[in-house]
Amino acid sequence: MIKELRKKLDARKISAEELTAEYLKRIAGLDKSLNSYVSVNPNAALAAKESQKRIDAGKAGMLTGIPVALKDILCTYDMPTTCSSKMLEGYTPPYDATVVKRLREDGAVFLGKLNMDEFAMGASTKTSYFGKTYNPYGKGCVPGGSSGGSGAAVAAELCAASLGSDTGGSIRQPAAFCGVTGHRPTYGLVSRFGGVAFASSLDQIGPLAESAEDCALVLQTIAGGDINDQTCAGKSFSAADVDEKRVKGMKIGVITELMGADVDEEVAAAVELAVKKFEALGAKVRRVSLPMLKHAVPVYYLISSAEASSNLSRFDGVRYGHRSANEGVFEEMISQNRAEGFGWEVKRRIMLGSYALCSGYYDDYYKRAVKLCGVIRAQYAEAFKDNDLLVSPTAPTTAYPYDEVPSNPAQMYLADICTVSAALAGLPSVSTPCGYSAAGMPIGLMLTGRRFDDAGVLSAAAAYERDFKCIPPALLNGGGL
Amino acid sequence: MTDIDIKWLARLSRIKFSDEELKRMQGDMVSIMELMDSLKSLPAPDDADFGNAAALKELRADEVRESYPPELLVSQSAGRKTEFGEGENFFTIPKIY
Repeated sequence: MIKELRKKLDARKISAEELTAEYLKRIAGLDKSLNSYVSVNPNAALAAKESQKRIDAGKAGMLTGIPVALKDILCTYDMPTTCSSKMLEGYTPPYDATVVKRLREDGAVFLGKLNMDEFAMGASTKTSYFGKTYNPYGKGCVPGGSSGGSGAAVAAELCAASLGSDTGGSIRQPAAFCGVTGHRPTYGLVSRFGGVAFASSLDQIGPLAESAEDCALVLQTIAGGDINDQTCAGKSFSAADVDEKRVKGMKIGVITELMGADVDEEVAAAVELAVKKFEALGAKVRRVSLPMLKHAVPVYYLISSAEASSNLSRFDGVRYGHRSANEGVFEEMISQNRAEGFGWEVKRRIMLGSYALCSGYYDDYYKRAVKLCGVIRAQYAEAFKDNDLLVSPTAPTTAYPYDEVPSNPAQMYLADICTVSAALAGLPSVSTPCGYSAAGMPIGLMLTGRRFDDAGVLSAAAAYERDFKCIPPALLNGGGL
Repeated sequence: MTDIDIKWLARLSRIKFSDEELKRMQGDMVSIMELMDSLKSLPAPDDADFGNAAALKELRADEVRESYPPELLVSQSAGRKTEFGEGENFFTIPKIY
């Protein structure tokens, strides 16, 4: 889609202002029921005008004039950044996240900020303070999360591409649930500076778009070293390295632990069909076992919650954020601000993280989880000696109705089984649509590669997408949500 | 998880809960810790790779860089005070004790 829009903009078949106006009109019409945006950029038309000047001057970059939207976890100096939390309601940061700055420099037009689970903690957008986002495929279903707004907005064509963040699956799972492509870059490829921190050793910012090709074009702009993020490796990424022909002769392993009984039959069947397609494209497919992946969910929740309990301690209501009317003395004020500002799921994660880190339990929980994370990384390293790519479903199920979101937290966490391991190992991992359930909900195929082989996973996804026929969401066919 | 544990955790987490909320959180934490305890039976090697966080590059140069104007930074605080005179920007907090 981005290349088509680029051609139209460069050939003056449409202006950047007209294109932005078209998207804003769609948002005004469709997002009332979808609720994918937390806020719409009041200066979008002005930004489009500036982009048009660049196009007219013959200085357009790949994204100049392209309307994109940002998960509301990414700092923007000219728009509020709320993390979909009461804690940050109305907060406008003093600076742009590095990824935002790079998109701006390339001339992308920001349409607004997208809904998410509060502080990226959740898999449905149910925990957003600003209300749920609905899946454009309908039936009262969740769009996934935490980047649910990013997935839904792309699927409903309310932006040409979006940015999300992925700590344990928050780009890939909503991409799968909304029938779009979502890429979690290798840890260290994209700067995390200005992305509000959840779990710093796991967080990565990445694109969601209509195709792997579009994801690559956005990734190319946001990737690269950053003086403000010491975990950023300083590597760049070129969309030109994405080559569908790479699939021929590629060695692909199907992860047996993620194709078991806890995966819906329809999902497993669609993934098996996709695997056959890869064989037809010339890949060599085999089954591969990574036994520790079965235990990855508690490993992920201990590490990510421990880091969250520390990262979220900055939200005390003193320098920014929610401040209670009932102050008391200093410590009471902070506890009260946090009690009023945070939602239940965020409180649960902070409590779990505090427990895992505290004296007496540290060795049994946090330290053990870090060691077992090392085992997961070692098993991936072993698997990548004989495989170029590992394949699994992105989620064990398709999107489910809101009233079926599990009330038991442990049961809810276990649904992250397919995505958390690649995050723990810092690997690049993409989700692309590979089929639809009998009820018409999209099914996601997940491709995970070696560190910094983002071009490899995106090449395979692009090759798969070549002949895959996407079914448009119910919302675009006049259906209800 | 005992009543004492959950109250202590709430204190550590700097979150105020009503008695009813604390009971609900206790129930949630019992369910969550059952899942976390499933790791206890697994052998955890001491020579594990410590992961993404260890991927730190060299440190940046220790040099003065331009910062943000104080009035901009203070502007987001609900407890800001600027009435002490021009160029004076304060975050305010209640008494410590």
